[in-house]
Amino acid sequence: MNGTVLLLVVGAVVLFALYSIYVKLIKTKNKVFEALSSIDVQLKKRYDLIPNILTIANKFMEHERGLLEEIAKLRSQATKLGKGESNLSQKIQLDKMIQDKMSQFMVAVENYPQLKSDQTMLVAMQTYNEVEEHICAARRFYNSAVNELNNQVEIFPSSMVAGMIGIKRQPFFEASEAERQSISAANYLK
Amino acid sequence: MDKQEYNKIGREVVKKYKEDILPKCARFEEERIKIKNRSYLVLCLAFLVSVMFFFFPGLISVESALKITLIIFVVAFGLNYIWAKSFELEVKQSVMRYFCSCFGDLKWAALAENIVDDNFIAQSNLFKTNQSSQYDYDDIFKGSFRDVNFEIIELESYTVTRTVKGRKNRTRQFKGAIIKIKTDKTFNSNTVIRPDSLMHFSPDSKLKHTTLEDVQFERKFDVFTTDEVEARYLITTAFMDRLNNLKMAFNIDKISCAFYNQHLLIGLHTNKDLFKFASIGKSLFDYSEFSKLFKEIMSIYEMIDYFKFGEKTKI
Repeated sequence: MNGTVLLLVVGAVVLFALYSIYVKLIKTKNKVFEALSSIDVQLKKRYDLIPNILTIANKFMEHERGLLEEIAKLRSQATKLGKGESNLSQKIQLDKMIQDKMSQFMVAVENYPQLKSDQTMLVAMQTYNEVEEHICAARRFYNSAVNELNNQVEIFPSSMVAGMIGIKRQPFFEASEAERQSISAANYLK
Repeated sequence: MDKQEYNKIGREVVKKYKEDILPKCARFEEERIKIKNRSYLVLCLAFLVSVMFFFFPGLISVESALKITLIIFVVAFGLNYIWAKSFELEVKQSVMRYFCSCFGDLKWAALAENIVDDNFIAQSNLFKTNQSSQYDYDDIFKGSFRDVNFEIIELESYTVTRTVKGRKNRTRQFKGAIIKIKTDKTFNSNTVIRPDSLMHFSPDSKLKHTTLEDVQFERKFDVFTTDEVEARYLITTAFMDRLNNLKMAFNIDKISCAFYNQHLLIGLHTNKDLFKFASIGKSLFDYSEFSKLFKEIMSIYEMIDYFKFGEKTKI
């Protein structure tokens, strides 16, 4: 009798422990989705802001039409992508391309003093910079959530439960090879 | 804020200090020396009278002599304390606004004119409060920098409970100063930074503990927030540096911070009287107190400058 009771208690404890690990894994996985979704929210703010900036810039930047059209095209492609995990790599790719083009745009604005001093443009640029910082913060949140999930997926005993319910490692947001290269001032001062 | 601008403000402030403040301090300096001498005299007299009882033991019993000595010294120290406090208050009321005028539109506000919203402070979760929290206010400063309004409020928060025997038990929750900066930027979340604790208990059920990437910062502080993205947007390494600068400028051990409802609130936890610059023992011509006040105000200006609170954006 005592042996049976002990066995039941141990069994209950083990089941409870497994259930706690399962709950923690699910919560962490959902946190990763929440983080991904928060990146989408910030990206949407950026995509909503870009047409305003391009409209203002269009009046002044006659010689940069090609660049403005490229940015508009990329923005359109990005907004057509759905939310969620399925388009993640495509999303990351497009996001990087838009970032590159917008950086080129910011440099080009320097050649148009009238545009630079336009009050509406100033506010739009400040807002854009804030949006970029929010996107950066959203990526950090995503990486933090992914780090927590990957630790649980790889470390025993939660790795065992993760394997049973099919939760796998997730990729981090990483800088591209080009972004990791050190910047040479000589490339810009020609 | 770059070094050039910092030094420029510094030079203007020093110029005003030398031209406006120092002449006004001259009258009080004479009074300070008189009060100081008077205090020493009273203490010497108290000592001499006490010693007399022991040179003439026949006059009264030893027990009575000790009691009288104790009373004499209590009265002497009491008088010195009252004179010192009256002097400090008189100087503060007369000179403080001139000190503040060195910093543009910084004003030392009287309590009667400015009512601080206790609920706002409680809702920000800057420090632990409950429904029965009470607040005692001391100095209040109001100013602006780059069109950003800020207040510095010295306060003590406490609760009063009754023991079984009916005695009042006062439990302090916070003592020090709160810097309250109003911003045009929208904060959608409530983000709170508190000194590190072992169990990371959240001050509110809506606030979740979040772990940031900076290990050193994590060791010193707990961060709680309702929006993890906004918390990471707000708490950058540059912000951490400025928070640390503020802590060093005010020379305090503990600091907390809350972003709430268009405001940044910074709690400076200390038992010291932060804005006491006159004392019997220190000359009013001593520049160190003014220099301390200058560093404190400039650390607030740097925080405002870093966040660009005056900029209106569409976020």
